[in-house]
Amino acid sequence: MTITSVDGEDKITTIWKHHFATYKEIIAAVGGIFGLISSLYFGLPYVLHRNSHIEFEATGSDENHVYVKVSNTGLKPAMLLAYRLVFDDLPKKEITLGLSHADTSAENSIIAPGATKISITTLLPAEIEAEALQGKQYTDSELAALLRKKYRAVSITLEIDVRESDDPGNVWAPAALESIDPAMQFQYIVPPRLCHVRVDHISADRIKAFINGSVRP
Amino acid sequence: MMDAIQILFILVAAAATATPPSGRKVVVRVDLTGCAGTPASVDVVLDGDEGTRRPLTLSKDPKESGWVAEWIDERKRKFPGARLSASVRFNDGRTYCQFAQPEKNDNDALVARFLFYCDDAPVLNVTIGTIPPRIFSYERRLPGKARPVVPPRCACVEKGNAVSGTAVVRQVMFPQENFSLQFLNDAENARSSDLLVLDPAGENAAAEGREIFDDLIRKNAVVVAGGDPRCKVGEVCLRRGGIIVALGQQRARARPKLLPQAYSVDEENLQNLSLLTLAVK
Repeated sequence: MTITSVDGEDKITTIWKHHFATYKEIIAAVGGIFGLISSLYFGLPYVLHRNSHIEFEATGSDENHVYVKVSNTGLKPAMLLAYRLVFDDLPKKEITLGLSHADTSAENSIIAPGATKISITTLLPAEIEAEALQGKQYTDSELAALLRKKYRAVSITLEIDVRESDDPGNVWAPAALESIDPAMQFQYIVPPRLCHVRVDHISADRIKAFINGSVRP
Repeated sequence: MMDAIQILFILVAAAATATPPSGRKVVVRVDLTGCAGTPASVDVVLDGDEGTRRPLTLSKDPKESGWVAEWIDERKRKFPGARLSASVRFNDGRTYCQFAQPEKNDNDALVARFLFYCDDAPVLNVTIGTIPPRIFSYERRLPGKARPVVPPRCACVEKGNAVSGTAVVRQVMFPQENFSLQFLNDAENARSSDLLVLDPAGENAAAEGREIFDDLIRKNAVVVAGGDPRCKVGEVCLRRGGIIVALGQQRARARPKLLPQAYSVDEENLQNLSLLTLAVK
């Protein structure tokens, strides 16, 4: 059957052309949606994880080291800056720790995306340079008192200062306020974040070899 | 009954394994600088405690030269929080005392590192004998100010016993070292006061014979020629009476105010001693 239009144009052709235009739009729209979904699917994780993010867990010890498994779930490298052991019963003091000799030589304080193992150890008194830190170290009598309980009942927090890829942070606020706060007093109230402090709460039992070998007075 | 004993043993074993160790392991490392040759054997005395005397082994690790041993620090305050001193003992002598520098080795173990400088300071070997043989002890003390390499407050004290009645005390630094004897009375569990042997005011390091002895020892000694046939040529000998007088005079010289009973205690402790012979080489 042939339907002939008034102006002589094939009506079927007109209808198909009309439908074809509609389908093209639908296909374009579906393609756009797929594009958006795939962009979100592949791009969102990148956006969310574009910066480094360190998590760690103390896995064990020997008499000189605490073994730590460190994971960087982000996409950029991070840097481990400082390490300390804090007894939860006396949290205002600490045992300042450092990266082991082997890990220091291998520059393992830089954590690339993925997981790695490091070991940390005590520092010699002369290696604790900051006077404020020297004053914060547990004394032998404090340690003896803290370790009087069974190790299972002694709660410890292992803390690591991490310079994530988005550190330093919170710098915009002091910068924004600089015009109305030329002396930068605001920094004393809300200081810029220089690093993240990551923590792992454990019982002393998990690192008892280290406690006995390097901490216990 | 047997069950109860078994349970007791199990409880004791459990307590023993649950008790954490009280000491801290320290690697002792000694470097000897400027010494002629390598000594055949080396011992170290830590923290002035002769009971800690232990042999050192020559390290075969090229990264860690020197003589090494492991030691458990069981003091109340531990190294490096508390200082640790050491004196090295050879077959025929000893070093001055030195404080350790804390270090860590490649395995991050705590190391107490001692650095000693050998020199050619004149030394003496002092031979002490008693007739009849009787137990005595000796004490050597090298005051911190005695030599420039000796750190202050590190008086190097060495205490020894001569059970057989004779002893050769080797490489005594003269005149820097204080060297004294004590006579032990096992029956009374007592000891005499210190008999200072060498002259603390001596100046001539090359002095020989009688000159190096304390002047009160010399003053109270038996005159060799015909004084006592048991006293040989080259020896300085004191009879019991001479020792008691010398002890009293030395005490009076050190502390003018004395308890009178000190004399009688020394007389008691020196019973059965006939002659003390002293010789130096």
